[in-house]
Formats: sequence, C-alpha cells, structure tokens
Amino acid sequence: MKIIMAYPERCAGCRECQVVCSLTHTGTVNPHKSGINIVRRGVDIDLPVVCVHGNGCNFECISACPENAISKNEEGVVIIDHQKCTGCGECVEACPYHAIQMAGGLAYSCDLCGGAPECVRVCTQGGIRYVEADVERVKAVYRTITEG
Amino acid sequence: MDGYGGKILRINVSTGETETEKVAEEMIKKYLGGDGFAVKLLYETVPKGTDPFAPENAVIMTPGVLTGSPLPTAGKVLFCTKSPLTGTISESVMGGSIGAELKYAGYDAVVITGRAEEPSYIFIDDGDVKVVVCKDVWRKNTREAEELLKSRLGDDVKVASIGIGGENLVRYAGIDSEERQSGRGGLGAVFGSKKIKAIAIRGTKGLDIHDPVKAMDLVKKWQKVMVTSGAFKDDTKYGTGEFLEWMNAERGTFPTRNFQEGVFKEREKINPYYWAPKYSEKNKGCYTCIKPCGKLFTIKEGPYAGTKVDGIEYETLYSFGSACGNSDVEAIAKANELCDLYGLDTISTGVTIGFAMELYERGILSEVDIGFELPFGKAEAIPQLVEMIAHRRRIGDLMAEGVKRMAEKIGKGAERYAVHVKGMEPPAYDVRGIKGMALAFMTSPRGACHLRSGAYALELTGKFWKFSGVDRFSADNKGYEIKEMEDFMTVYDSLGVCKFSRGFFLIQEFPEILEAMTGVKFTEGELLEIGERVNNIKRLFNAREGITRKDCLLPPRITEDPIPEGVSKGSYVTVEEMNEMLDDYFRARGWDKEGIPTKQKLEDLEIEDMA
Repeated sequence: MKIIMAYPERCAGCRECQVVCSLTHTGTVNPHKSGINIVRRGVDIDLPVVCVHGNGCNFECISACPENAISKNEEGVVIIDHQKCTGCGECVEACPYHAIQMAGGLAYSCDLCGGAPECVRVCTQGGIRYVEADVERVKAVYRTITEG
Repeated sequence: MDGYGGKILRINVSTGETETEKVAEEMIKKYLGGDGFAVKLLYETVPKGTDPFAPENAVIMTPGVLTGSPLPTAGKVLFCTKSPLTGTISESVMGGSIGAELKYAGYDAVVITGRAEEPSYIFIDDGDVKVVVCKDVWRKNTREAEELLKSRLGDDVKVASIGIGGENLVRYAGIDSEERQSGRGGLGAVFGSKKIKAIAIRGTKGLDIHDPVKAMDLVKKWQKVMVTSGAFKDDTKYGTGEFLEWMNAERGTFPTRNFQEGVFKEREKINPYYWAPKYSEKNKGCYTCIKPCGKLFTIKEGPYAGTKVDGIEYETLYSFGSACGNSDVEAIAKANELCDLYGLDTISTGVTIGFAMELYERGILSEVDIGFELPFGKAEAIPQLVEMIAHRRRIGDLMAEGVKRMAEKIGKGAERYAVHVKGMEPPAYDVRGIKGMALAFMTSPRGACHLRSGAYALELTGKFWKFSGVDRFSADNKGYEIKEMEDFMTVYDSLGVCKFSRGFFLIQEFPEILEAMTGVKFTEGELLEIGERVNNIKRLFNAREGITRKDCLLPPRITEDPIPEGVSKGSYVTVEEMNEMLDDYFRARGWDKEGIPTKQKLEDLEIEDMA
C-alpha cells in the first residue's frame, strides 16, 4: 500500500505539512492536532513522524485502545473515531514511532486524506512523499525514535 | 477574534506577576499587530530616559497577524526594546516557530519588564505563565539551552534563548530560536540584564481561521506562484547570498575592508554558487516556509571540522567575509556558528572586527593592544575574536561595545573610520553608490539598517512596487521613496511575513489574505496608513529620548571617501546631498526640520494623544 514516507535528509523543517493537516481536518491551525509531526533535534535533524499504517509496526494502537476507537478501514488505513476516543492516551504510549498526538482530549493520527494527502501536496522539498511502503526504510528512518 | 491569539500578556520578572488583557478591536484597526503592537506597547511601557539595562526597560515580543496561519512564509516574530547599542527604539525580526507557538497559546504580544533576582526563564504553557529560576541553564550556549529546556519541559515546547554574549551584556547580543536569530540592536543584552535566559512556550489552543476553505485555496495558490517562479530555484539553492556576485560585478556596492571598497576581489569562494554545492547538506526553513533559504552548512574536516550552522546568509558573508577582507568561507561558517551559539549579531560582530582590522593597519591599534597581529584577511583571527567578544576577554571587552563606543574610547582619530549610524553597524550595502539606501540608513529608527525600508530592491534594480526609473546615483526625490518603503515594510513586520517573499506579496495581496484568515477587512490604503502611524510613533519614541537630526547623519567614510573601484567608482554622498535627502524625507513625512512629527500629522493619524 502507499503511505507517507519520511525523507529527513530532505526535510527543511518548515512544518507547513502539520499546519495544513490540522487546517483541513479540524478547520483550525494547530500542529498539536495534526497527523504528522516534525521532530527537531539540534541544528541538523528534522524528522517527519507520521503513521505507517502497519508497514513496520503491528498496529499496536488498535490493540491498545480500550474503547475500540481505532480501526483499519478496507484499504488498510488506520482511522481514529473521535466519537469513541476518550483521550486516555494508551495509543500514544503504544505506537512504536510516537506517530499519534494527543490534544484537547483527543488522539490525532494520519488518515492519508482518502488517498490524496494534503501534507505531501504542500511539501516542496521532498521531505515526505506518498509512495509504496518500504518497511526497511521505515525502520531505518525511525531508528532515532525507537532507540530514544 | 479569528487569526489572532486574542490577548496581551504582561510579565514582571522582578516579582513573577503576570497580567493579561484582551486585544481591543480598535487596537487591531489602528495597529494591525506584530510591529504595530510592539511599537505602541513599548512607547507606553518604557518611560523617557530609561537606561536600556534598567528593570524599567521592556522587551516586547509580537508574532505577526499572519504568523501561525497557513500562509506560506508567514511565520515571523518580532522583538522590540530600547536598544543598549543605539539608545533608540529597536526591533528585530526572526523566523523559527516560536512566534506561531505564542499565538497558539493565545497571545499576540508579551511585554516583559523587571529584573529577576537569579537567572531564570519564562515558561508560557498556554494560560499558565511562570518565571522559573534556572541557574544550571545560565552559561549554556543557545543550542544547549534549547535542548536542556526541552528535555525538562517537553519535546513540544519552543525555546528562544540568549547565549553568553547576552549574559555578558555585549551591546549587540541577540536572541536565538531554532538556529534563527533576532540579531540586531542588543535584545540579548537586555534579556541578560533582566537575568532572563530564555522563553519557553507551549501553545496547544491553536488558531481559529475565519474561512478555512478559502485559506486552503490561498495556500495552494501561493504555493503554485512561488514554486513556478523564476526565483524559487536560486532562492532555495543558494539562499540570501544568491546576488553576491551581482552586487560586486554589476553594482560595485558590496562593502569591503570596513567600507573602504565596493568590490571584494577575492569573493569567489564566499559566493554560495561555490560553497552551497560543496558544504550544504540540505535546506533549512522557518515555520511554514516552503521556499527555504537556509542551508545546513557542514564542515567535515580541517581546523573547523564539526561546524554545523544554518546559513550562511548574505549579510554574514559580508560581515565576516568582505568587511574583514576574508575569503575563507570555513572561517566565516565557524564565526557564524559561534555567533549563533553565543547569541551575537553577525553583522555588528563582523563589522566591529573589520573596524579593528582597519585600526590595526593604520597603526591606531597595535599588536600589543590586540594580543596578535590583525591585518585584513587574517581568517583565523575572526572566530578567535568572536570568542573574545562573547566572553569580553582582553580587547573583546572593548569590541563588545560596538564601533561607536570603541572609537570614542580609543580616540587617536579612530572615529574617522567608525562606520555606523546612531551607533548601529551597517549591513552589506555600500550606500555611497546607493543613495536612497544612504537616506534609509539615516532614517531607520534603529540606526544603519537595510530592513526598515528594504529600499535596496528598487535602488539596485531601478524598480519595485509602484516605483520605476529609480537612479541609485541620484539624491533627488528620495524622501518620498524611503517614506513609502518604510511604511510598506512596517506592514510586513506587522503581518509577520518574510521579507524575502515581498516580491510575491505586494501590499495589494493582503486585504484578501487578511480577510480569509481573520475576517477583518482592510484596504491597501488602510494598511499603509497603519505603517505610517507606526513609523510616526517610532520617531516620537526616539525624539522623546533626545535623538535629533544630527544623530541621523552619515559617517565620514560615506560623505568623504569616494568608492575607489568598480562600476560605482567615484560615487559618494556629499554632505549637501545628505542634508537635502534628509530635508526631503522630513517633508514627505510631514515632520518639521528637526524631524519631529507635527501636530497636524499626528492628528491626521489619530495619535495626537501620544505626543
């Protein structure tokens, strides 16, 4: 399946992806309520962190959610149902890549915008791309997160 | 109010007391936000005659109206204070993402006054605001301070901090956040005097957008305009230094060896067309900037191995390059990195070093005074002097005062070679061959400055916005031009849009953008009137501090020494031209001969109560 793959060696750290994600999903601008998050470390690391939809994880969020608010749709895309989400934060803890954000009592993660992700559309640097999932690359790119 | 944080936050760091007030609709109509808010608040907060290092001085932090919005390249934040370098009102604008974060926490302005008893930082955690003692962060460099506070407060906070330069009250110390700086005018030293090391902000409330659908359409529209423009490739590949060769070869106005020459002959290796492909690992952008001019400049071997800096900007290629007669780009990168870590303005630091080099070559400063030989072009001395300035070690203590005070203390005719206006070291425009910019250096409230007017665009190319046929060698009709450009740029600084985007967004674009983001209707004329109003208050502030016409005048290098070589050879600004341009400007502003706003002008702008 196609997912949003991160290319931190290209990401300039501008976070326009985060801004438009929150705008198109919530009608407000709030990077904390975005399905993508740019993690900044020092001067040289800008790492786009975004849900890999099972490509390099075992859907730990779905197993962890006590409310059954997280599920896979028929395309294999992880969806959080905000009607059911209570903001307990179990999914945030469970996600191996810290790709779920919690804000205002709700969990936010990438839903791939139905196959036309807005974040990728605004990225001019190639820091994120909507391409076929590459599990090895996912694991390599997010090693800085999984290894702390 | 959509698009606005909605509140003004006041923090007295002496007591830790805080106060918030709602932003009144009238304030928005009269001052817009950003620079407009900052200037009004500074004027009202800082009493006449305040020592810049006294607790009564204030630092005002204001994100622009469009900062935090989705508009590409609108992410700027402005800091404003009474400058310890110039004694004037002084604003400095930075990128990064901390301005947006402040909006997301619900604030359009923070007013910081007082002096903490012990080294502290300010933590704005949405509505929860505190001043926290942090002795262990003091003495840390800006990168360490940011990392330390993030590890303590959470990875999602944004941090702006000062370095050792600000702690040591270097008069041109700045503030750093995410490798971006409010460099000019000594804001870092004012924070240092307040014993405030940093501001950390977490804003989780977000920003309401008046018309989200229209806002997204505008994002797409402007993205397309930018990406398909001719400027996009070179802007992002080479950054702000892209015109360096042109400034030398085609204009002859790239200040060299402390403004002695207008062409730097050894420029080949400081040109980003040379160094960007060799040293840049990737682009670095400010918040929402899809057209990133920053470069991750990385040195892997040699004496400066391990250097990593977001740069090098055009101004820094001049200040540590041509101004010092230095063509070693690695030494420039190292000096740039040290300035960022110690929180020093690269322009003032480099110009001060170039000044010391000229004094050395003229025998006014000796090897004994400096501790080593200091001819122009001595690359390895530049990072070394940055260290000495930041720590105020040996001659660094004197150089930390800036060229004006340095010349006064040295005497022996040193003043003749000190290039500054109002005590501010000049940026990379040899104004002897750009006469409108010479006027802009004079009229800028913070002293020699290219960004208060941005008039170099039209002076050097002949046209910009509503101006065409501009002759840079002529002193005629420059008053109106500079007045209009200052008002234009003040609108930019009030909106929070990057000035490197001003070729895309002329003023007429903003009414539509502002309405979509905030719901507030402004006409182009109203925006420019706000710019004029704000510039009048800046002048009122300076006049109240006793800054008069004579403080605006140009240094002898500009009025006596013609450019010796290149396409601008022979050009300089005569004393007569200098005075005529200033008279012309005061007339265009509706001010009297001493540059004081008239009662009529203040009434027209509805600020007569401020005089």
